[in-house]
Amino acid sequence: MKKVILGMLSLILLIITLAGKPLSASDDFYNNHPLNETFKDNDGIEYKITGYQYVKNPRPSGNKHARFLIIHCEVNTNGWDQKKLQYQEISTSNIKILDNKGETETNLVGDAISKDKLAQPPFQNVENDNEINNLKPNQTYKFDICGVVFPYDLITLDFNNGTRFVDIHRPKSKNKITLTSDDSLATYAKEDAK
Amino acid sequence: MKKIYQNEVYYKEKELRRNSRMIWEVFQNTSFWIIVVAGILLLGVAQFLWKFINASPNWRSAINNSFFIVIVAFIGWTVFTLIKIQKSRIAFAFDEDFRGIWLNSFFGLKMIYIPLSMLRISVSSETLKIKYQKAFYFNVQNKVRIINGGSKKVTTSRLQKDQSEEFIDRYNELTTNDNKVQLDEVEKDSLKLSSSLIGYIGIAGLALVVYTSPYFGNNNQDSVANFSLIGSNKSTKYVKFQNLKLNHTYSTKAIDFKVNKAYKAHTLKNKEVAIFNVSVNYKRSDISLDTDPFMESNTLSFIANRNDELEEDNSDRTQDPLTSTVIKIDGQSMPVINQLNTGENGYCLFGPRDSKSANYNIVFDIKDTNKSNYLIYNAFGLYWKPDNKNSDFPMYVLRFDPNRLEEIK
Repeated sequence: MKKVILGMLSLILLIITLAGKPLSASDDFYNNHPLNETFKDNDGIEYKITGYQYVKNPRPSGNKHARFLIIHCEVNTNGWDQKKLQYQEISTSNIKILDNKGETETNLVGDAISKDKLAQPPFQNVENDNEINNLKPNQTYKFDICGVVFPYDLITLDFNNGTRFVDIHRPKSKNKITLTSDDSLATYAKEDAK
Repeated sequence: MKKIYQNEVYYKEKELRRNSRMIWEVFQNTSFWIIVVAGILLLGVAQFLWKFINASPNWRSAINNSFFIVIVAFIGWTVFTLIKIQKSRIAFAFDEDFRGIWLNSFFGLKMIYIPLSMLRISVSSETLKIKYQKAFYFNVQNKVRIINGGSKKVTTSRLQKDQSEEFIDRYNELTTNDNKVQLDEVEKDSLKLSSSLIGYIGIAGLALVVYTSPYFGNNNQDSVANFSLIGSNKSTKYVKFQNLKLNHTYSTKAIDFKVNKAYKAHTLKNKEVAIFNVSVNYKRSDISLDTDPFMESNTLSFIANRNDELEEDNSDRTQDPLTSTVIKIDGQSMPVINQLNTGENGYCLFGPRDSKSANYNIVFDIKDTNKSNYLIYNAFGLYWKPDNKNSDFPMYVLRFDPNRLEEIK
């Protein structure tokens, strides 16, 4: 009887450890990663990137290895007067997500995700209209940019059409083909590939 | 009308002779040739059509596939028929009460019943011609069906001699004077046989000529040209044929590219893939590149004419790079990083935006490891001759041997 209980307990423990490990690893991957990057567009409006986040669910419909990547952005109009602001706009096309140095698909509706899902969290702040007009002074405008990427690729943000670039993930590799085990995505990659 | 036979006449038992004769019978059948000729003509018409309407590769493959299915079905049907013939050795026989005969017909698929009143047998030069106004047979549900008129020729030398003689004697007893027949002992008429053979070969030849004529698409000429191009490695201003060299810079008007590493690996589904690690340097930004310029082919799929104009032969033979590949290394699965994703659901487009260079892994499915494969830098669309000012060229066709690629570790 003792042996049976011990056996069952160890089995349960084994299952918990096996099930627990990847869960924590992939949770980490899907967590919000804070960033603090600022840049000014040609009109002098300051954009701030506060973080990025991979979306666990839903996933793009076309390819099981692809993920939605959401970039959290902020524009602050402190110090601007109303007269100047009436000719200004916030253009989301000032921030582009590059996968492997190529521009990612931005027209998400239809091909990658349905229109209904795009209205729900975590996509509710994704700016689809490309620009925010009628700006008012002393306000903070928060919006998200979303693109479909393959997380194991070189993922870069392109600010203001090539003025500045920020790497979100630069894969570490010895053979230039696959990740090395010290890459932050290596654990996730193994899980995802199953 | 029961399937009870009397005075059966069997085909001769000599197996080899019998089988070859049976097969020959299929080839002598007119409907066989009608199907063959119609098939070849249809294929020709399809070729002709897609030359003119410039059908997309998907349509082409759909048409090719459907023809393939038709051909397979036809071969299957022929084999099935031959097996059936071999099974039914009986040629013909009288029925239970001598009011009609049972005739092995339709390539041995059916025993048909012909009442004597509707039957006329004639003999000429070793051939027994059985002609009928109406015949009956049992279908699969065992119901009686009518056939309106027909005839069947049987070479008498194929039949058991005693049995056929006995049958004819009996037939003569049962029939009116006008219809009586006599089996003749004429030697095999080789001249007649060969003349019919010449006829069939003629039809087949004609169909082949129509099929291969330039009017119905010049596929044959293309493949000949292809072959000679591969053989001679003849490069033009627009296309360079070379063996793939690692760390060698291949230069075009718009880019320089270098294949740093080339590996073979297995995917999770155990497909063998070739992985090329390629660095690309942009020289000119004003030249527009195709979004997915790299291709792979295991047969050369285009030709360059003497006037430097390129023609697409059959784009089905080339393939675009794979998207998001996961390979197995030491039993563990690993995604390929920085993969050049093209085509449907690739989501991201080719082309460095942040600098003048990029490093990609380009992955291809190896379809035939025993053949030379080609990594192709397809600089321009093959539908038009490249424009000296605005197009990128040359196109590079780099040959590699999949068996000599290093296994990834």
